[in-house]
Amino acid sequence: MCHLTVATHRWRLVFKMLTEVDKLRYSWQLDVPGFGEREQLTLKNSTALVTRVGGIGGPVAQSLAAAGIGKLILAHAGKLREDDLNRQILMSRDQIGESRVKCAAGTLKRFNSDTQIEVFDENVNNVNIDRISSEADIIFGCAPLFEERFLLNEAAVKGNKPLIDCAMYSMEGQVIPIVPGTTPCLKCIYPDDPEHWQRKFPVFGAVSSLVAQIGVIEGIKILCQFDDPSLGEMIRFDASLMNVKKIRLLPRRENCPACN
Amino acid sequence: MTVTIHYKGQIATEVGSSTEDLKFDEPIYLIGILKALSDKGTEAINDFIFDEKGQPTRSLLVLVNDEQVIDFQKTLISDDCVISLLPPIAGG
Repeated sequence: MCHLTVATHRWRLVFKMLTEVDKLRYSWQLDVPGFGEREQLTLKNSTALVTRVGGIGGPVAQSLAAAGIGKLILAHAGKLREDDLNRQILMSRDQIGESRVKCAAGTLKRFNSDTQIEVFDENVNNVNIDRISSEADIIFGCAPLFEERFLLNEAAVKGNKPLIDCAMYSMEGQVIPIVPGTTPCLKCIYPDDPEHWQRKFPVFGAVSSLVAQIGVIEGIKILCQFDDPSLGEMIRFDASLMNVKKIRLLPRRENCPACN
Repeated sequence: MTVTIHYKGQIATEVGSSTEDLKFDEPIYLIGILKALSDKGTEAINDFIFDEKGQPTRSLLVLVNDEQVIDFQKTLISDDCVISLLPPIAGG
């Protein structure tokens, strides 16, 4: 698959073996059927881009660090505000006014000092997207604006790397695992710019965190070729009713401007 | 016949409800149901479903019994069908 080509290429540059500490630290997940040292090694030698590190991106980055991802690239502009704190769990009240992404990096570094972290105190835009995304083996789209999500989609298609689009609204959440050339891309699913989407949306931190955990599981499955990722499907839940569904998406659009 | 509509995301907020039962005299094509929803709802609801040319918005995911459909003109809706309207969401 396409992402393995990328990973193999990167492995030629810097290949890290599992240490005895790694084998001890990750021993509980190494007991998961189908997930062994080969998969752990893949994680250790992989780089994930997470934009942004708010209600979804923060827990995404933390769970990737917990799982043993080798490197995290975090992109998020702006300074922490009081009203971020119901969901942005990598930051604390005494950090209000400080750079969000640097606060997040500090928390993650204390959590897993073996995970390399590179921060960009800026949001993805059409000028910086190549610079920010080029090194990533996988992208997690957690931005609150479709403009950013579509840029990440273009970068994923251009770089032939998987994108995990994670989104929520109020008590609902959804995850779309995208593998260029195999699944519909984000622009296949949403061909018209969603004019009604607004920057401010209702959110419980627990709901955004739930989206994040589903996204990380799907990302690890794709990255490590482990279990069955939900390719061509949207995983959608409604926490009001506490139901989770997988929706089979239509095939790629033949005239998609992004992936065809 | 009765058709159940599930509103999701911002449409549910706009409608003020997440579900509604509609009654029709006979099986009806999906486009007819979308027009009925637009006619009985607010202008904002209409804007979620149809674009300025009166065509169904391409970024609204419409599910019939949990399967995505795009051919609204040819999809015949019968009794007890569940139609879900999923507008794009991007909360992070």
